[in-house]
Amino acid sequence: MDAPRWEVLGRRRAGDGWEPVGIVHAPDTEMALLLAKESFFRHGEGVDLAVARDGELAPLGDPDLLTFATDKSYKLQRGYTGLGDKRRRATARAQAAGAVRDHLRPVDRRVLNSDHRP
Amino acid sequence: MIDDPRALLALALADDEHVLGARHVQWTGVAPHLEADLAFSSIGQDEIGHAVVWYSLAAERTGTDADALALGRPPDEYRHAVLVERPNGDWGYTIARHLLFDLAEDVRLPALAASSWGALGDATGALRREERYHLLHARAWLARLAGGPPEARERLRAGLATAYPEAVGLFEPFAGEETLLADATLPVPSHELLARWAAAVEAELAPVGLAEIVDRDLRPVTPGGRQGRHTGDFTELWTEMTALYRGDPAARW
Amino acid sequence: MNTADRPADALHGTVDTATRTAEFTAHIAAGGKVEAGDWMPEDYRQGALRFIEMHANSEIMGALPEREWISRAPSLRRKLSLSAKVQDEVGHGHLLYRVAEDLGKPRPAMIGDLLAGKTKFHNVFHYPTHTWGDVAVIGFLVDGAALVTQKALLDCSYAPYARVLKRICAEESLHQRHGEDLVLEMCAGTDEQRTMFSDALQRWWEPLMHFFGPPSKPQSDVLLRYRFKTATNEHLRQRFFSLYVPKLWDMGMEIPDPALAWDEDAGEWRWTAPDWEPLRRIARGQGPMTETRLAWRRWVHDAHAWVREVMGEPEPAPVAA
Repeated sequence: MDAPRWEVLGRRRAGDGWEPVGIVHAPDTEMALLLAKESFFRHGEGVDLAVARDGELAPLGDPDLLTFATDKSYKLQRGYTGLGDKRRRATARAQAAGAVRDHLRPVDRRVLNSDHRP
Repeated sequence: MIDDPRALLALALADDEHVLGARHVQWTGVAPHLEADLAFSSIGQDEIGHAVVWYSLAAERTGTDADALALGRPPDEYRHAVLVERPNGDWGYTIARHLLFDLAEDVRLPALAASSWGALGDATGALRREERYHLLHARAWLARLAGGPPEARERLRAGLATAYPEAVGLFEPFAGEETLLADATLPVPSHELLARWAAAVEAELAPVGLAEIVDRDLRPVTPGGRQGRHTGDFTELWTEMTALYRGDPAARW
Repeated sequence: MNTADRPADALHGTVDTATRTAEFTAHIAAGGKVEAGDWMPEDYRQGALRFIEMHANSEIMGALPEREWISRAPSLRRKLSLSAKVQDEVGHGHLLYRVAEDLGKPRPAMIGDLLAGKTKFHNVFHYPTHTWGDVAVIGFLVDGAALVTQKALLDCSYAPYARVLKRICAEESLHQRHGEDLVLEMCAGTDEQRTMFSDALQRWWEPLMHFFGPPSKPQSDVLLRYRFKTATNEHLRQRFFSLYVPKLWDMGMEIPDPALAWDEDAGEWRWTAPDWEPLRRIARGQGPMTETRLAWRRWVHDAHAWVREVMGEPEPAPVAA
């Protein structure tokens, strides 16, 4: 016997159609909706979600549940801007400690950007 | 030692969220079911996020910062209810505590919305939106476990029976409660909120035949959390949580 | 081209398989992709399943060393970001087991085999963590190494895997930026913080070199032949050096390989091959933390079979010896 599997559908923006985003294992609709929210929408990936099984679609019914009410920047890209300044700070600190390693390194951008295909 | 009643109120609220959130996120990576792990970690992260909100309010009054309050006080200055410092135990206890705590939030936050401390009242709005989801989640698990096989139902019942007498401690009076009531920082006294919560718990559990765990006594079995009296469970947790921070409170991490 | 359209022909089974395999191989060589329902040679299916299963296992086991530090994080924000990171790793395990299931192995069986020590997970997750410096190294360099590998797999011939890897790489990129943030704060910090990171770097360098594996043998590597993988181990390691070694040098960190140097004429990094014995021990299930972690994880898992029953997931059937 397989665990009950639900297809998860998401709406990226208001007005978009339903798009399949993945699968959750859950015993019923209520649980499937809750687990789908955390499995596929915890980084703010959409404005609405639904689960489907045996041809029946069950929407979340309350898209407000997908919006963030408190600061979630720690799990989003915008929480990690400013690395350039931090790199400069770290290098300055290394220089103050006399620890900067000035060894030869690749400068050719093709090396840095290549995917090293065989 | 902090003695400003408003700061102490914010600290009590913050410590509840911080310590419970810390316990909830201890399930991350090891919960009994993969998708359930994802869901419960978000609940725990939300609670820690709420702690940040309350600590920030307290920090404005104490002239420090949220981390200094969250990680820099000795154990007997933490004001959370003993309930939240207990280890996670099994999933039955975890869900029981989650339900009882989020029902308490559902009673407390609307009452605080009318606080004469405007910033505190304003903060409740965002938290209530997230707590709505927490209650949905807790109720879904209540239904699953209460309506499940005998072992599931018994573990839930045992979890509720253990958690409830300590959950009552969530409504012990805050330090300085008289002052907070006099100036309407607290619009409703704790004992009144306790009665509302006990009724809400009974209403939640009666339909699934578990109202028997609600004790009319309404005195906490381990009082003193709001006054800074905690158990060995908290000493252990506090040591783990604060050691690195206290090693160098001025360091940036 | 969908090779599953051909009618089965039991009388000429062997010949048909050989022809289908040849067509399949030609399809792959021309850049074609494979979907879950397509006919595929058995060695492709088994190779893909083992590879994806090991990736899923690694996400689940990778959560264990890192989650130990959630409760010890030195700030509320780091507690949150570490929780979110470990949560994402569990999420990756969830996505990957789903893809592996479609290749013919049920999720409970895969988790059961992992916890019984029957299947593998990446070497780096068999090691202990000692300090916050280890958290920083894992976030910056271990995740960085994983990201190099996973980006190369975006070209995988098995399309369902490539699709979930897009999401996994996006989340992993966030983890890697967070890792760099952790490292930069330490390296710009007190002497104790710099030393804490430097010590961790010394400890983790060999496991990182092991992570990329010994030099690939393209002739005998089934996954390279079927373009499931498109980069050799050596190419991936070289890319890792190019991306991370100069950054470490700029932070004033020395790397514990005296031979590590960029050779401009050859256009590649010189480095010292590590002792491969620790990696072989790990492959035999004898890493420093292997049995401890599996035993503990097994105990938590077994104690909660009742929850999985509630969630409608059966326990795996006993596997014949």
